[in-house]
Amino acid sequence: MDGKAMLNCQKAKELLSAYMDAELSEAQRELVQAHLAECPVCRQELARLERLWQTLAALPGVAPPADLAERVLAQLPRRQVPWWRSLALAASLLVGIMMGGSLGVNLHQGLYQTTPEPQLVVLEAFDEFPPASLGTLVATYQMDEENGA
Amino acid sequence: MDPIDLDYALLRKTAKGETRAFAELMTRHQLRVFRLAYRLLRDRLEAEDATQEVFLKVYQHAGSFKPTGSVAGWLSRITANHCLNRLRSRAAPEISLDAPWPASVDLAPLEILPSTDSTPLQDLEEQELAQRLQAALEALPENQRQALVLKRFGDFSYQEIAEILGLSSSAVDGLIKRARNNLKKALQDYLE
Repeated sequence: MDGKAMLNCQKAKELLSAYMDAELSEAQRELVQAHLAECPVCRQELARLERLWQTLAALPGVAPPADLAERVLAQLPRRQVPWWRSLALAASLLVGIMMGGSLGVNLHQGLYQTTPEPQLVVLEAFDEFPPASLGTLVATYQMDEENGA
Repeated sequence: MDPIDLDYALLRKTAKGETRAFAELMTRHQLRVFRLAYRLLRDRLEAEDATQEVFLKVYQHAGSFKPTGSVAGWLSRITANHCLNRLRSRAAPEISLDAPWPASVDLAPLEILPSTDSTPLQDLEEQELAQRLQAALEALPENQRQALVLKRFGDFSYQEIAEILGLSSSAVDGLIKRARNNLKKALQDYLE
């Protein structure tokens, strides 16, 4: 008598659940398969268990609420920014403010300084006469006269 | 992209704080997570809370995922552990695990909703069968019910169920076997 013939119905039925779940060892699985091949009663039992399992999976389901993901997203914790990143940002802002301030002061002085020399420079920039030309000298002279120099 | 690879990619982005990737990950898995939670907790509102808490955990621990298994399996494991902790915290200490769920515990009756899947339970007779099976599932001893639900709706191996429930694999084998036999007896006339 070989090993497969030693599996009786009672023992085979005890193994059917694990057999369905693919949890038997290779040797046990072969024993069950050999028994099933020759035993219609155990095949019927297996068919019942499989039908039960399928019915269980087919139970009417429930659906999660449609806004479940939105609810979770609304609860997400704010990510902590590393201290060094905050420091770097603050330093960048400070440098930017200082540079901007310095540029602003220089620009303001350049535009509104009332001394004659810068005024001449500005006039030169918008004058139709080339710098150091006779026309420029005439214009400078006229301005000096207007200023009472 | 392969669904498994997509899950990995979404989880990696989630670990970097990309909420859009996290939202997509939730969309892909929320139905399965919710249904497992619902089958374990047997209460719709509790299952909703548990599902939200599970996904918050996933967001916070996305970086700790080890790609030795699937993301889906990892989510199911977190869901199972979270729901069983909820059950333990609400269970009275004197309740035996072998005893049926006590009637004194206020559990809302299971809400049978139309299935979205194509199932064999579509006509009236099968709706009745579903209710009978549901009642039989409810009547199982709690440890049998949990083991069966983890197998059927969580798709865990016996070893994984053993780790989740703190039992041996052979004990899980015995629980699932007895649960199947109990359900089979309850539906004997249908299954014959």
